[in-house]
Amino acid sequence: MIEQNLTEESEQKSARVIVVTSGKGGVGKTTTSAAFAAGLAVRGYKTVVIDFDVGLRNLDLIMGCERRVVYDLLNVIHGEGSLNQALIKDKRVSNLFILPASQTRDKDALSMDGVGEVIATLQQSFDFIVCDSPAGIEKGAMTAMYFADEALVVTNPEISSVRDSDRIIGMLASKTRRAEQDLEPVKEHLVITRYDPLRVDKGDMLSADDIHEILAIPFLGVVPESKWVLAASNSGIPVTLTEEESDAGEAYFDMVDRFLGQERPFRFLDAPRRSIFSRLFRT
Amino acid sequence: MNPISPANKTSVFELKGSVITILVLHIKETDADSLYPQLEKKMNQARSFFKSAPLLIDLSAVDEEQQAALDFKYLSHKLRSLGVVPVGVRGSAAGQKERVLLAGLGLLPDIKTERTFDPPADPETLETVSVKEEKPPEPVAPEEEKLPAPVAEKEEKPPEPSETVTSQAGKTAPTKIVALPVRSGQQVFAPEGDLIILSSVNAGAEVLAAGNIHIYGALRGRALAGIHGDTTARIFSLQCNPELVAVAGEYVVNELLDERIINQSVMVSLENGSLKFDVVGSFNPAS
Repeated sequence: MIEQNLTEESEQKSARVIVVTSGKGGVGKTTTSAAFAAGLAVRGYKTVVIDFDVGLRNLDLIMGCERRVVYDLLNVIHGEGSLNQALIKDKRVSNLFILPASQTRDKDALSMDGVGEVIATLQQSFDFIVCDSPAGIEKGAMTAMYFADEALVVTNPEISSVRDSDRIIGMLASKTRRAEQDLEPVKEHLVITRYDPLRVDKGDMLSADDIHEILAIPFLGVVPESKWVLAASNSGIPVTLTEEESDAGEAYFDMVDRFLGQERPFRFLDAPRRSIFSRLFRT
Repeated sequence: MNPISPANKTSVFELKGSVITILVLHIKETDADSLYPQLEKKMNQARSFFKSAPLLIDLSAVDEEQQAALDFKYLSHKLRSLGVVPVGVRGSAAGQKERVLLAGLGLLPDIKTERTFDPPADPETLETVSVKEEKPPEPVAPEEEKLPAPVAEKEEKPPEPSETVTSQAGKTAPTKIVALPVRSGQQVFAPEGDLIILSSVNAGAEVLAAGNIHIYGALRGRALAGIHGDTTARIFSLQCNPELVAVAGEYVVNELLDERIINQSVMVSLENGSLKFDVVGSFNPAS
């Protein structure tokens, strides 16, 4: 049935699939997925964000729709519910949807063919499909990246995170559909989260330049270490949709705009100058 | 592109082919009266070097008649008593294979095909036994002489943006060229010739070559040159901060590196059995 739809509606839009990945856990993949997807939706693109973290789902919490989950990705794959039943429409932005992961199933139930069909179906009616990858390099992560056209590689300014991202970038170049079918490679974008320029200056943290040099993929931007991220997560609001403007939210909007091909000056890279004296002495 | 092990069913083991350097005993005469005393003398000269080393017996130089005169069980026993561990026989005649197996030794295919570009064996060696480290088809000296040759060849070719290019430079072994960064978990292997990386080798990555390794970027992972025992192999990198470097099995880990060479442009070579690091300049990727 899905295939029929595909041929009939091939004239329709075909969404870009964006995987948000990192290798390492806890670096901000889900926060980034939520904020980026919401940002794309605010900019007028019909966007769906899919949680691939089977068994450890969090995206619904961060998006604030955890009490509206009826069907999930695995139900759809196994034909226990339709895609439309599983998609949750965001209450704040009209063209933002969430496809939650299953919390009870085993991650092995995530079949590559099933996910492929779901993504192919979603591609007909959306502009962007954001895949929130689980940490690690196991099946969930491999499935999340397999159909990607673009990748947001989320990295913390810390060496273990950089190394894991490096590994993931290697896999994006070899273990994805685009790699296997010899298509144009997955377009990678470097996203550095939890960035603290003061600590970079002190030498406690890797600088964005260092990370960029090691990973050697195009740099999309940094998200500053911000109290807003935790506050937004805990209240179930993507940091790009908070009432008050936040630094992290602005950083994500900068990245969304850069991703959409617009020029935005890079912000949050330098520590604020403390006084007129330090300014005098520094330059 | 690279052997990133697939996350398949949990298996308790992995069966893999591997290229290793092994000691080879080339037997030129099987006369027991000259073979064993010479063997004993040679081995005793460097007992600790040979200690417990696996050893391959090469019979390509002796004809079947001579092979028939050889007592494989005794030879195997003798070698063990001298401290080495014979693992197999190469170049045995068809009629002798059974006996080799009975002596508990493995059979290896003849190396004849690989040795085509061997320089003519030096005729002055009258020793019946020569024990030497197996080298890649010994193009060592000729390769060294025309080191610039592959480079020149490369320039003539149209610029190749793709990941790996193998160029056949006349008689020298093919050079492998990799244009992309070698990332954590990836391994790039040039089994015969040189390896040229036009980018960085990141931490957690490994590059190996039978010949030299050139890295036109930072070396932050592991680099192993001369893996078949070519002691003249060298490693060059624009920014040297490796996890490990090795030439012909001789290695140094990061912790033991001299701080003065860290992040400099460095050439690593093997000299008198230990690795030598020469700073050949410095390189600032930002400039």
